[in-house]
Amino acid sequence: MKRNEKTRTGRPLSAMTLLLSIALGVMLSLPFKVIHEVGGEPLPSESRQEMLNRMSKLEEENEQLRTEIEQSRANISQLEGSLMADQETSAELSDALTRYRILAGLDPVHGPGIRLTLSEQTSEVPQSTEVAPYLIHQEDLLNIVNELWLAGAEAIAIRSRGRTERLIMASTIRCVGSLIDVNNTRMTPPFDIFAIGDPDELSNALTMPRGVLEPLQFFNIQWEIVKMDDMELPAYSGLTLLEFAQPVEPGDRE
Amino acid sequence: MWIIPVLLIIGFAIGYFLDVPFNFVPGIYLALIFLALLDSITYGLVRDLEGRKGNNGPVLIRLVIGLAIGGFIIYFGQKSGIDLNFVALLPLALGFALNLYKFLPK
Repeated sequence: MKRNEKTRTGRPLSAMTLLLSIALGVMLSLPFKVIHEVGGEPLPSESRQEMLNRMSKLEEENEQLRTEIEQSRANISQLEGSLMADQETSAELSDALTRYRILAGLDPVHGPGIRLTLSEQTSEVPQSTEVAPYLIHQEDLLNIVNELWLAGAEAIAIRSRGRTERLIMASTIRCVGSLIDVNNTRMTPPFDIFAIGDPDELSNALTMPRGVLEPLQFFNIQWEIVKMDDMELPAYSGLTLLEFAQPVEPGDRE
Repeated sequence: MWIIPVLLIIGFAIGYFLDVPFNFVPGIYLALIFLALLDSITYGLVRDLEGRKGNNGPVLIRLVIGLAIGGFIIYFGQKSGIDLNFVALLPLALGFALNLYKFLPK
């Protein structure tokens, strides 16, 4: 049996101590390895204000790019229109294209529907109570949007702080800290959710007993539904790129 | 005693040259493991220098209990939204400091 290193008292050091020393050595290598991997450069130590400024600048650039996308789309629509106008037989194609563009959220749409306004009342929350349940979370918005699609909504958009985001199949709704990110746009309550469809059906779907709005009242989240004869929703302003999905040709099917 | 620095260097070389997946462990848990190791090693050394026998068990138990309790406090804090990281690390840091105190010449 291997004899361990002896101490000053003549007794060997315990095996566990020696083993843990190796483990500690492994742990000590971590900062050196990190420095080696980042090329010896010190890690960025931006202050909170610097990061906020950078984020603000990036949001401005993002806004500029969105405007460019909208302009490009308008140009494409114009070119498509001029191309189609020359051909008599293209009327049906043009209609189909318009329909699919609306379904894809690429064109602004208008029609009857509802506006659901959701707002938090956190000032009324008792001081000893945790505030989190009294806030509007991504699940609340996702449940409402799902219910609206199920009730036959043909177009949905969410508005907050003057920004309206049209929802399409690639839209995302997720919590980012205390904010909610819709299509990569940060939003805060109150939220206006617009849905184009049969106003009565949409309204009934949301307000039915045990529906998606019922639990919100227990957490002081106020909601109001307004039926509208006509409303206009903007086009989806993000990118819709297809890199992997390909159409299935009739010959490909078994 | 000279074996301790040698083993530290061996461990350092293992961690530096082999791909130990540190990045899967959140930073606060790394801090917990680091402190727990320091505490257990110095505890073991104190017992060894005092001439006690059968120190493997107590050292291992101290390490496991330190990691388990500290890990639970951190996990519980994260789940409940309360920052309990300091509370989780403080006992291990205190244990380490007390062990070092015992090294001081009387």
